[in-house]
Amino acid sequence: MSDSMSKLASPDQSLNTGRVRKGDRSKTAGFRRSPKPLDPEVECWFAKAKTKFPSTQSSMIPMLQSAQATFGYLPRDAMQVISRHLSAPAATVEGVASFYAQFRFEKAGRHRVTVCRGTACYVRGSGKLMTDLQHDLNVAPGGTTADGKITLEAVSCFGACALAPVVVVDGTVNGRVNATSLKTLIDNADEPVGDVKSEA
Amino acid sequence: METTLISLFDEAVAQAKQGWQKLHAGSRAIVYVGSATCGLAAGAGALIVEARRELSRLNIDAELVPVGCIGMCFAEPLVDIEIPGKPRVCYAAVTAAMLREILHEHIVEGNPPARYALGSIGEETIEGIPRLFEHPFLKGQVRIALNNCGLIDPTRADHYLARSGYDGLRRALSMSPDDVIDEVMRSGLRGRGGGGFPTAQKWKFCRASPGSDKYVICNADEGDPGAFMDRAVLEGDPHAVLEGMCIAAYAIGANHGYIYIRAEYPLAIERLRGAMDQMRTLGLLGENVLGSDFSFDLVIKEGAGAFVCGEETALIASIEGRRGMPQARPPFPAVKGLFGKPTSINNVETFANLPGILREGADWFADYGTEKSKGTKTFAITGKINRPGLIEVPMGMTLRDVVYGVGGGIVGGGKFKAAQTGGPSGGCIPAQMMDLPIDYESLAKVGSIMGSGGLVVMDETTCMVDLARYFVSFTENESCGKCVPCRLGTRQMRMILDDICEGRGTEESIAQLEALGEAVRKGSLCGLGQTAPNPVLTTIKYFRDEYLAHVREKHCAAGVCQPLFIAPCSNRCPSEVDVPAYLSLVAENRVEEALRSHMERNPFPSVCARVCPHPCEQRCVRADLDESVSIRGVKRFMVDAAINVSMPVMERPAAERRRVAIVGAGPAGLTAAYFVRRLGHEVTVFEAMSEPGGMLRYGIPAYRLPTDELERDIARITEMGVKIVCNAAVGKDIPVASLYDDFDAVFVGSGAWSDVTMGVPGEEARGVASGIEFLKKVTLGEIDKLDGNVVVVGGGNTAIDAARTALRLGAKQVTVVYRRTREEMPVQPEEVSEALEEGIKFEFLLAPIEVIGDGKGGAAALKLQRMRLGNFDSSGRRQPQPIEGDFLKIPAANIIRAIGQRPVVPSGGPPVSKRGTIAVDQFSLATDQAGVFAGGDAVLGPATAVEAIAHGRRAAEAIERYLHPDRPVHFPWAAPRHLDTAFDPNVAPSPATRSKTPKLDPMNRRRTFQEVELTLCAADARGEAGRCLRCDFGKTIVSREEE
Repeated sequence: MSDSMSKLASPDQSLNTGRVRKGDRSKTAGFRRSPKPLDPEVECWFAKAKTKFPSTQSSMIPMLQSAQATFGYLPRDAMQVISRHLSAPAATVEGVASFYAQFRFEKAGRHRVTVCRGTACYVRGSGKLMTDLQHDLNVAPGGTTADGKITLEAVSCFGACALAPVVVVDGTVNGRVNATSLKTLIDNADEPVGDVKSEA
Repeated sequence: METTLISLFDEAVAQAKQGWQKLHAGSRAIVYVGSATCGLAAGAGALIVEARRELSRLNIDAELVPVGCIGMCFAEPLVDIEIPGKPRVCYAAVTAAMLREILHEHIVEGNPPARYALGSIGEETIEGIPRLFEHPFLKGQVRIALNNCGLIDPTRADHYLARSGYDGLRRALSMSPDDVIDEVMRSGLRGRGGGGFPTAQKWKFCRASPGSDKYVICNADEGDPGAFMDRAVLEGDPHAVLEGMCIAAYAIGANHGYIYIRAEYPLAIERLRGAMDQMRTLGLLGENVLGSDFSFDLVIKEGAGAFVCGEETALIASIEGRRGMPQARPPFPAVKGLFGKPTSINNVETFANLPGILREGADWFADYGTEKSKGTKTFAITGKINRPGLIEVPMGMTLRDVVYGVGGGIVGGGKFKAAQTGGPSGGCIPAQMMDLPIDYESLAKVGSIMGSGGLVVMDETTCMVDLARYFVSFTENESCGKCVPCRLGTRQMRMILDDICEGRGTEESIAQLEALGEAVRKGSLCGLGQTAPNPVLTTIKYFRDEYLAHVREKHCAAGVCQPLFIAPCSNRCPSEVDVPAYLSLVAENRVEEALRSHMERNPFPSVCARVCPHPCEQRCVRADLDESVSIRGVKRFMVDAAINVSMPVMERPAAERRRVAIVGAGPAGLTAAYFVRRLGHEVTVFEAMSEPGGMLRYGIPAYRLPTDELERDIARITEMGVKIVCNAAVGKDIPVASLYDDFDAVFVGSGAWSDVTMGVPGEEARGVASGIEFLKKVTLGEIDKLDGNVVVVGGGNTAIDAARTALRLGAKQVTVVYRRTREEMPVQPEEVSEALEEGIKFEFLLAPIEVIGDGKGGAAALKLQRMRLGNFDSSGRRQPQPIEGDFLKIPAANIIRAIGQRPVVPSGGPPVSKRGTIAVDQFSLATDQAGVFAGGDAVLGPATAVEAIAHGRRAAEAIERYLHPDRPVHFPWAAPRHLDTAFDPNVAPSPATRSKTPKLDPMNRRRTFQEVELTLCAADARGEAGRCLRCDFGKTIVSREEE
């Protein structure tokens, strides 16, 4: 579970739990917390989300998914409002979010490159493709390149095994990928997507 | 109220059926395009756009129907055209250009282009186009769950209704829920997600649990890598699953259902949502389904990327919004599940089978399959097969039929190594178990599981140790962390496997894996942990030798574990010659160093340069760019540069020097002699014939291997001080016992000289000869001409050598007959091409049944039975079956049989196995007799020269260890690599294409024994060597030296 450990917040970004330090009079005003102002974009998202999702625990994952779909990752503020909406401790929200591989805690790059590491793809060389990509882009799986262009991910089986090895770039499934075609895909990622593959 | 709802529905069904009729009997052409995820990934989206454009340009008013996956993924993108009233034609691997031609020829001209067609569907057939369902991929299939996939537009409810959609639910609603459960019980349906638990039994428990709040959950979290059956069903026929869920809900008394589907399936989610909306409109979801008392509604929940959530209690936790960590059972979900209520969780495919069962009846379903595993099962067959795709076959079909019959065999004509079933929870099934019927019990018996249906096929390029590591690292990542044995055990197992794959493993490592595996299995709460060790334990069980090679010899035969080899070519070479070294040295015109480098591992460069089947070239990475490097061609240039090198003999103190005897001066024996001599011992080789060389001299004709070239290689060995005694047959002239007395160790490389007879009447006639005997006599000069026609029976090297030799001795017409087809001949393809060029005839699918005599004791003709190819046998090839009454007679006074050879072991020599080969330990080549080793054809049966050479070195190393068990010697040929040739990895590879080796003109060469193949000129050879991609550059590999 080392991946998820690295996703946990560093202490200074933790949610304001209202912990009052002894002797720090300036922070005490009865026992009420004064919450930090929320990111306006999160506010906007939440205004719609709270009507869509009831305040029950089973809304936890769908709300997290909605936040990620909107922002591309889970901003701290979004997790904070979810925690309040569901009356669940912040640690619980954090615990659920960090359990599932889908959730990201950092902004993603402009492009998502997902290499399938399912068995069929592996047997047909995706392991080597991934190693080479990590080396060329200088990024570990789950991370984003320094220039913010590519977020590299691995998925364990995309379900298109007959087209092994599969690499998904920004939602487009590319089959029978080799080192050359992969390089082309990455290099051309910033180009607008052509509408028709004229000669297959 | 009820009547209205039902009649609304009936109205919809009637309309749907009418519409479907009109579609197929109307006036508009129909264009179907396979548009599931696979089809789209292969370019179907673009094809649909192109189709619209072209249809409009051609002014054709056609119906464009996107369909789901028919499972023929290997042929995507698929486009079908149907002109109403005529058969529907399926076209494969369609490009935009092809599509334009197809639309024009099929629709405008009314002439379906057979050259692009895969098959036709319908009563009638079209000239030149086979029936689609006769295609070997589809022939054996019985499509129940996949009934509609590929045939309907999955976004249209009316298509589903037109094909008896919801008839099953209607019948269920007319029965009592208990009767529905009985029907499903009688059908024998078992959970298709992998557990195989009887579905109706689960429903019974759920129904019996108290409470009125119950749930039905569809487990669509298909997490097994390599499995996509559920995705195909959800994308191609979502209503089938939904109808099944309604039936299940009715049976157990649930009013709410959830579909838990992984987020990685966005198209499936979209199709499900659409189908659910359609159901609401038709009164199939919501209050009073179809006007009955039964109410039911569904919610879709998306997974968030956790494999463990395929486990039912973890799945429930996820729906409830918690971490997906499994819980102890009992209580089972059927008693206490989602939100604490009785819940039945079933797999997508389980649901997809229910409409059929309810519609056609339990007996219909139970008719398929085996006694305990009824019905059919979908499989996603992927990996190294020719026809990867999605299939549905009756339970009990053998693995062999699936891999070869349906899957079309291994890619590139490779050999089957193993099939993995059940994903990371399953096990590997090796080649010797291919006749295993695929059902729940049989798979469990061999240590695997059915799983969800993923079946990944592997060939020799898959390393089973690396595969085990892959699976364990998957389960390690997906472990929820709750149980220590799973959380830490998988990690430890993966680390041990890392050690083994990276050359740090020991025998202890294997024992640790087994012990840990047991601990993880026993100490884990849920199926993930309990089955995580399966891939490791089954690979250790069936591929132990591969693990041993990794730990004892740091060798990965599959060429996958990078730290263990310099380059794929060297790794594949049985004698492990450092190919990139000599290639790069030749490129720099340092030919002597190149030759010396070759001699380090293999003392027969001239021989191998001429007769080796070059397995190195088959692994050459350059082939991904254009063509493999002509490694043997460069080697030929290197040896023909006629430089001489002599290899040093180690100085050993007299006390350490021993005397070693070698039986047989063939490639195995002489190589063993060479390496033993290099280690400083006294070596004497005993050869039965009058000259050394063995099969190299007496079995391989001079036009392939000139005698003086052979003698050059042998001279280097004798110059080192190896004594060869000819005309000394051990077992006859020299008693075997004397060898054991006078020498400290013995190596037996006596070859495989005894031939296999045809076993047909008339075989004793004059003119009928053994191929190997024939070749020997020609070399000895005892036969120097042949008149008339010659027939050679066989398909291996000996047969072709005999045929081409017979031609050169003056035969009028030489015909080679083989009982299988050209593709299955074991001989190198180059030999066949050269033989054809020389005018030799080949006749296939013929087996000898009688030699017809000339009345004077000689042969006059060979009578043969025509054969056809039947079922696959253990070699992965179709077995020839005789065609009754169909014969062929070939007139010939000379009939040469070359259908197999057996070893001849000196009497008093080491014990032999049932096959007649000498039984040895595969690593040390030691026989049961102390100090006696064996190798080459005597151990392998007829094999190649390079394999015999490899044995020679292996035996020499083992002999040294046997002679000095306490003093490990450093073998000079295992020293760390020092190569200083230049190479710039940043420069693009040379664009040159592969150089063709020049040969003598066929019409001239066919009557002489001059060497057929010539040498590349220096410029070509250096250029060819420069094509090498230097896969070895910058690599350090693990040392093989014992510490």
